[in-house]
Amino acid sequence: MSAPSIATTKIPIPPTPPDEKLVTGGLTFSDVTNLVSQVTEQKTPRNWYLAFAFSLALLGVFGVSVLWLLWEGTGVWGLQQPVGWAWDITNFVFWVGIGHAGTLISAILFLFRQKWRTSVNRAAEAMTIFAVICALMFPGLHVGRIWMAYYLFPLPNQMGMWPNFRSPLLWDVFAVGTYFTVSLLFWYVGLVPDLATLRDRAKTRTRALVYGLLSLGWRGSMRHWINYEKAYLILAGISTPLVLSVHTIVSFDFATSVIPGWHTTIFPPYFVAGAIFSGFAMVVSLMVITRQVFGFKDLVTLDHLEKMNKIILLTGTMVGYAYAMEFFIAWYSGSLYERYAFINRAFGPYAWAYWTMITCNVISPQFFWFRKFRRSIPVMFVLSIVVNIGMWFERFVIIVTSLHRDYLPGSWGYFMPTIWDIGLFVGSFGLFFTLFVLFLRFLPVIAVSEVKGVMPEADPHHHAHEEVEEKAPLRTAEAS
Amino acid sequence: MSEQKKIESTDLLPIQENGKTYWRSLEHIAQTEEFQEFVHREFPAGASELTDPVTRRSFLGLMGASFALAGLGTGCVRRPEEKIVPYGKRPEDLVPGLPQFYATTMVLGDEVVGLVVEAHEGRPTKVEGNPLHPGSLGGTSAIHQGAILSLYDPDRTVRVLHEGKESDFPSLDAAFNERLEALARQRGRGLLIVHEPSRSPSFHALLERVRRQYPEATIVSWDPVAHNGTTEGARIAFGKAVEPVYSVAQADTIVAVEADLLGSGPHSLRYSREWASRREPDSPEGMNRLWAFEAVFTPTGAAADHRFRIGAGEAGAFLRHLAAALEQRGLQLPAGIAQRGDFDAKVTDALAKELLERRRGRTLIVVGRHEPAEVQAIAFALNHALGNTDRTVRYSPAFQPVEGRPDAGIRLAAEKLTKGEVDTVILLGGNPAYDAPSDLNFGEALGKAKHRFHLTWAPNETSALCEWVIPETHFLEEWGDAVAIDGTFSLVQPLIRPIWYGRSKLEVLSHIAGRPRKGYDIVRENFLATRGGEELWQRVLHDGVLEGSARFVEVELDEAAVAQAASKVARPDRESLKVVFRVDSKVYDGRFANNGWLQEMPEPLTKLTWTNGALVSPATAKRLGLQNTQRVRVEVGGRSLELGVWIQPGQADDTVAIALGYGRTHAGRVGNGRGANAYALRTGDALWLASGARLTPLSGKELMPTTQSHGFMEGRPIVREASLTEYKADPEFAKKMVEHPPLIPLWPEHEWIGQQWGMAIDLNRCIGCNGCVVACQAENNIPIVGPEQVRMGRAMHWLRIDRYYASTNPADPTDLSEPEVVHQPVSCQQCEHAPCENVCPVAATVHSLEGGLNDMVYNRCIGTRYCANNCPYKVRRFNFLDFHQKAGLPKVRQLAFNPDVTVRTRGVMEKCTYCVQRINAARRDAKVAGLDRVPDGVITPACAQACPTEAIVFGDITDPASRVSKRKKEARNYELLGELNTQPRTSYLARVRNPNPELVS
Repeated sequence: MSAPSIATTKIPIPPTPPDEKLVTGGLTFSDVTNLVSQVTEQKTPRNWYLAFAFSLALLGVFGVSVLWLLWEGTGVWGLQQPVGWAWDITNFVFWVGIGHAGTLISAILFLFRQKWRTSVNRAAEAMTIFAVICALMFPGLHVGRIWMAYYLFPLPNQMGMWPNFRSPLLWDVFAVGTYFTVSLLFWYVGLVPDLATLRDRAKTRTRALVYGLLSLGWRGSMRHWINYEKAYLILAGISTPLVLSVHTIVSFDFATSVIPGWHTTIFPPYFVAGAIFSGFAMVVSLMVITRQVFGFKDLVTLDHLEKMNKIILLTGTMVGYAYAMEFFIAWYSGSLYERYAFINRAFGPYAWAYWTMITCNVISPQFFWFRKFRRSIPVMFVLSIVVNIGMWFERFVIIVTSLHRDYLPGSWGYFMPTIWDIGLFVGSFGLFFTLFVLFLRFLPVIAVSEVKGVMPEADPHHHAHEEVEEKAPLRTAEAS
Repeated sequence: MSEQKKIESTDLLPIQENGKTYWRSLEHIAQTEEFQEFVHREFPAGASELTDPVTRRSFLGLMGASFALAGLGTGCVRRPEEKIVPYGKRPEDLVPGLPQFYATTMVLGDEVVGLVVEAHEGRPTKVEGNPLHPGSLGGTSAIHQGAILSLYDPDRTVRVLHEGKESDFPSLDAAFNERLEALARQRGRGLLIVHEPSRSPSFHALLERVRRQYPEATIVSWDPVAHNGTTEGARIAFGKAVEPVYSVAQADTIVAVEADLLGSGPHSLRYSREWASRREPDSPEGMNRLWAFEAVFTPTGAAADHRFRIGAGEAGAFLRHLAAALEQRGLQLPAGIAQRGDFDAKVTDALAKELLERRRGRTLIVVGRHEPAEVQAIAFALNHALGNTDRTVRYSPAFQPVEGRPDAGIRLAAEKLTKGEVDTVILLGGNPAYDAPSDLNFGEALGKAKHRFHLTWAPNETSALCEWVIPETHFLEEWGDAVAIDGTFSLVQPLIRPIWYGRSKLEVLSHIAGRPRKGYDIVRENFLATRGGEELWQRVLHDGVLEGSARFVEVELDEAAVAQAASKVARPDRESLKVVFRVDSKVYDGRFANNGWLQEMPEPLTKLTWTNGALVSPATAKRLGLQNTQRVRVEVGGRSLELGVWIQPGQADDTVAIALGYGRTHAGRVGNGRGANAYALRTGDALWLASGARLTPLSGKELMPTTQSHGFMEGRPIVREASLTEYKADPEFAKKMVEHPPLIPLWPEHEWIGQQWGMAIDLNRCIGCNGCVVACQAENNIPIVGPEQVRMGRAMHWLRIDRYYASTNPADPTDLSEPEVVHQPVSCQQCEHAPCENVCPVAATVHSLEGGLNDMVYNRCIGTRYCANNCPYKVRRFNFLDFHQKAGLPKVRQLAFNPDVTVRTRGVMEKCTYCVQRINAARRDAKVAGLDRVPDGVITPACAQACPTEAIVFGDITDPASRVSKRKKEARNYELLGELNTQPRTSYLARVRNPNPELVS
């Protein structure tokens, strides 16, 4: 069939409204392929080296912080009695939260047929995996005797000891472990057709070999596509409950405890909403940069970004509701300790952290009620970063303000971070960025095959034309 | 293997002949090639470079890691290698692994306390009170508990030093004999002996011989915190030097005027026990009532039913005022005592009425031992008039009392030295260069003596100025004897051969007297000559105390003399700022400054560790615009001192209280530079109180680590308290202070197998003295962490004492001018439904199958700290760093460890175990004896054993007859945070105050 016929084909339901054009700029299939693939094929740009050097430097900070931590002990951090967890677990929850957007975009939006996800899902999934890697560092590193950390896993051993299956921390091990495994598989399965494209375009033997190995013999046959689609759907199905379960279980670390400010039934939904909130904000931050740097403005359009901003607004407001509800329940419970915990949160020694959190998480997303702001790159970039600052503070507020003043006032304390707390956190961004920058350079950043699938060209509808023409007034796609 | 052998060769007891010090040999080893290689093979190459000495916590230098081994210490996270050396020939009566117990005595100033010391394979590890000794009755204070650490202090005098360089005993003896011979020829002219006041009869017998030998020698004694006010007062009132000994249990009303009756001083352990025995609200005798009038908060004030502030130095005026109130109500008093002053008449009238309403001889008035003689005399007269003599106050002949001013001796010594009249000075203990009145410039004067010998168990500021420093034995290494204030005779018995070959004061004194003898012979001969025969000696050796040796005498009050003395009582000075010098409850006069346990122990009221401060009242701080921990300069009499401010509720206004004993410069690695040296402000004329002080705020803050930063209960039912009237109306008041819905357990209940252990802590008896805190530290090998770590909130005490203030001003709950204080010891509550157990991912803290304990399995712990977070009592302690510095810890310090308790490494959580090692030992013994249950009272955790007031009771809660079951059945019993359904095994008995009904608003 010829191209003109497609261009003039009358599109059946649903018609794509003009503002929902998912790929702009009149790109053809081969344009899309070229645009994405060439990023990995060109000579490495100087800016990439700069970005990589910067990331590596931060990773170095991470390395030094880890070495010193292992050498000296957990005491290099500012932890104390009563604050036994502070930045370590804050960072863990923060990174796990960020890791939510990827799977949400990939799986849930996939199941809901939200086609706009295709241009951002690859990067978002990569981000998920890297964020979860960062997250996993913290529970691993925060233990006092890291060389005994394998006790956490249910390995057969001479002591005949199992881990304590009643401990939410063990549930965490399983939940985050599962999440990481499934996310990685999901991401990799989605990558296979695009890796094959890179293999086919390879000009050097090394590239052909490496991408050839990674693409697992993909030839693009119909059988491959059928299996691929099935596998992708199944993995999406498996991933979907995980999006909800991971952060639910992370929230159990706190919700099942007896500490006022932790012992709260609202935590699971509240944590999930917060995770999506922060994850989307992170995707926006990264995609704004990526589309700018690699010229993907026609693939990752303002429409995509605006949709994500709407989700940020939605989840941000949910989080705000949760904050308010916590206060209501604290009052309604009549519990002396519970009430104090929340009054202390807002007006105690850590009030500065609390109000930072409120400003960032509840007030700042309200700008997204306005279309103008939703579609403004600078506004959304700043706000997405502000949201992630706010979400880091949310976890800090929950963990530290609850611990630092619990039941017995005689044991109250005040936590202050040391340079090693800060170093490890900042360094974890180094780990994240290093992985992300490598991803940008060597893997297709945008899911080429999937983007093609949502372009009008992918949906020719040869057989339906007549019926439609007979039963309904003729409608034509408004070709740009 | 050779390198490992090298390490082993750092023998604990250095061979004297090789002439090397312990420290030098370690350094030497650290520098050998083999050792370096060993370090680098065991730990990754380059790793030791990471241990930058500048960035490492300063603590790492504290306990002996300041040499090359330090890198090894911080990095060592492996399980330590252990070596076992079996006995070639087993000593008689010794079963390896089983401890032995010997009775001995510790003397500190006037306080003589009989002890029973636990020894493992010949090394003492734990001190307990001797129940037979009247000064202990089984209780001990923190200072007694800390003795073990001092014994093994690596900074002790380990060698004879000559001009700062190491020498040996033969050289010393040659020089010493030469001096002694020369001095003997001159009948002792030019000889000055400065000794610490001694309560040893053998010491004084030898001193008499020395006096005869050297008739022209000057022999003086000096103790910076000893005080002869009571004996001088007795000379006025009774015409003879006697010591008052109180029968606190007999008194229904006790009035403590500037007196820390319960917290410090001779017999304070006994007095605490007796006071506490009358704190049972249901006892037929009724509760006693303690009134405290003081300028600076003491544990006695905190325990009192009524505590009122009086100005510093106003004890005399207050007593005269009280006398007037008593006289007005018809009490016959010597004329001239009573004089109304400016004190709250409502309070004193109520007190006077109460004193007269009580049965005659059932009251007690006590004034502090630091108060001047005339104040003491008035107190004697008041007690006499109230009929207390021979009932609540008995008088025992003073032991070797010093006449005149307390600084007379040291002043004479300083004068002689300054005039150059001293050829040879022999200092038997003490540290006058540091603690003599600052107007004497003793250190400078000391330099004028040609020959200076100092016998001392730890090098100090004085020994730094001496020609010869002689290692002195610790009391756990020497023979001796002592007489308590009531005349009770007890023996000092060594638990271990002198670790550093030191000599005791008795031995050196016998040397001076011309016949060097062994301590054992001196003490035994003196005993046989004065006390009894061989059989009695054996018995005293076993019991530690000669029963029935207390002596009391009749006294007759000289009314005229008291009246005359009363007129000398100082008028209250309410204009100027005053400085009060305080004996520290931790480092005492400074001698325990190098003792980490005591340094890190929180002071009972301020909860300060590792430092002293300028204590001021909240109102004074406000008036002078001072912030807590702000640096200030205190000036008095042209001398000045810079230190941090500590705002202390309940202190008299316009008074700055500073603890003595800090600011040491030659104490050792632990004690140097901690706090500020208050002796610099102290002169012979103003030993305890200096007027006309000035306080200038400076910029900056001082590191003042405290273990408790929040002192209010925030309206929470934590320490539950009622007055006696309220208690009588509703004995179950404590249980009713919390309302909660029915408690439903989340998990199945634990089955009770075997005896079930529980504890009950009577808050009515606890005086917050810290005895239990340090006892627990000693028993359970709890590390110290250093001031920076304490400030970070990482103190490791398994047992802490929470201290809460409450305002007594109903109109303004923030007014803390006259606060009430409560103490609450908190350690692991051993919950049945332990929140910590659920959350540990690796099951490192679990319920014991038998006994129902909440066990902590160190080997299993990976250190997630989740358990500590989820503990509502916050009793779990985490080894954030390798606090014990095991690899770098000097071997001699390692001897102090209790072998029955694991020494924890870095990254492990720990907490109170109810002294599970003692429980298991008792269970084993019971099983061997064929019993199916451990009888009640056999198991005593370290805290309960040390507690002078028996506030802590432990036992089997399934046995209805056990002491703990009986306590738990009391109406006052409540569970802390019981509404969380943790079902703690430790419960508290609510505090019941017994205020005077007239003063209850």
